[in-house]
Amino acid sequence: MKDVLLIDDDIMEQKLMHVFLTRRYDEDFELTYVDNLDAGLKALDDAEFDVVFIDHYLPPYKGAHETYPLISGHVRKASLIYISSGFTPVDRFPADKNLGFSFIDKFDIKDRIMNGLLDS
Amino acid sequence: MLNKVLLYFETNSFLAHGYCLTWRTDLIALHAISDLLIFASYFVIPTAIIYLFVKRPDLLPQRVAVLFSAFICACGLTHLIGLITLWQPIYGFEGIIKAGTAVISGATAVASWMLIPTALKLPSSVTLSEKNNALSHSIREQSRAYEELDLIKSQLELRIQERTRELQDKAEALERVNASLSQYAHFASHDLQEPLRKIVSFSELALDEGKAGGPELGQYLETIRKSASRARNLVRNLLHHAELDRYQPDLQEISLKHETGRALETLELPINDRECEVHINVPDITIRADPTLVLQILQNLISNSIKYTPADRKPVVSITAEAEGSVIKYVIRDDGIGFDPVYRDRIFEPFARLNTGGEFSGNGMGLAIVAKAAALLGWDISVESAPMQGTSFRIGIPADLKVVNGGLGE
Repeated sequence: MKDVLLIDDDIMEQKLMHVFLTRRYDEDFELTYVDNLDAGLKALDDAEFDVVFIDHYLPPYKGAHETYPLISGHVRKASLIYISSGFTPVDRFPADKNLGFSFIDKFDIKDRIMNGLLDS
Repeated sequence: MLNKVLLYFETNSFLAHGYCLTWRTDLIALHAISDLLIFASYFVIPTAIIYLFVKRPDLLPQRVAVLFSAFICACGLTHLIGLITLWQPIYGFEGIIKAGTAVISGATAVASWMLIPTALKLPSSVTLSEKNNALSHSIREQSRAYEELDLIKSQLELRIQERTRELQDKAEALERVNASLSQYAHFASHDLQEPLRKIVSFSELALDEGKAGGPELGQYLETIRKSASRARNLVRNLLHHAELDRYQPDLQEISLKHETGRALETLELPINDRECEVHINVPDITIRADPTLVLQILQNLISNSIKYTPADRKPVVSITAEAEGSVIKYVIRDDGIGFDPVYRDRIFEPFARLNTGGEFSGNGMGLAIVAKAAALLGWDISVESAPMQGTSFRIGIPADLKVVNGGLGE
């Protein structure tokens, strides 16, 4: 069972994520959706997740450089993945792979999930 | 030969000069004192010449100083010998001294004439005074020129410093503009790709759903339509925002009350849909402004007030205007969801979105357009807000843009 948390202000992202997870894991997953960071932090404090997807430009923040300091202390063992449409090198802040999070373009999420992104 | 020479120093055969003066005491004394004083004087004068030469060797050549000194000393010696001969008849020796004096006098006489051309070339005291004055004047002119040069130099240095500072400011401004443009392009790219990705993703889902005859096809198509509409609105707003960069305001005398009514008319549909309650207290103030820009500002602000009021409540919007000192305060207040005042400065930036949830989704360009239009009009705009306590946009219109009795004035 994969426990996935999605933090994105656009509710349609929940629909897409649900479809992609269903195609890969059938019903062997649980998707929790929230549309703001405060709700996301509460969800992280209340339960454990395998993966946290968070919108890179989650309002009212301007990017990962603003949200990472707020969320990093709550994710525990979960993989933290920043998602956005059309990532550029500028988005990838900070460019340190050891910080324990990654960036995935929303255009690639479906393929990445189908190729086992959440399996490890 | 030696005898002939010694003969010159023989005195026995002569009488002293005193005999000639019959040893008259007064005559002897007159001659003796006079010769003594002349001798003393003739030795003092060369001392003065030699002293002068030592102190100012530039005034006369060494040979001239020596020659004239020797001439005067020799003359002095003849008077000394003359004094002695009053009692001792050393006339041979006196003759030798006179002969020596004659030689030196002749040489001095020749030398003195030879000095004449050089001496004539020496400037007179008047000439020297004139030259001194001219030199002083020249020195003063030079000093003045140096002072002017120093002034010009310091002015030039100041100018260089100012110019350098201006260039630095411009370079920094350009850097800021570049960074801003880069950020603008970055956010524009992201916000345009977002609806495109939804169109692509939901198209795939719609195709699959269509083939399977699933029930969600309509919902997927509706999402595609909304995404396309969102992309179109964003492109339109981006263009609108960009066009303002080269927009030339067409200032006209307009009624603030009339423009408020015009903005509300264009928003009639959302106002009616949301059963919005609008309170207006705008006196009939005439201002000088561009009506297109004014309409854009008012439309966007009133539209925001309606949009950011939760759907389960009727929006209440209050629009007031009043003169406060030298400024007309125009305020649009709502009782909507508000926002954290921490983001007060960010709200006017392009692509800024402070609220989450589809209910309050915007493209973040409306207030950026408002800010740019207000800047073009010279209007000051600020915002006050708190979460769930509504928002107040305050516009400060400078009073010099207010029209009184058909003319501009306070």
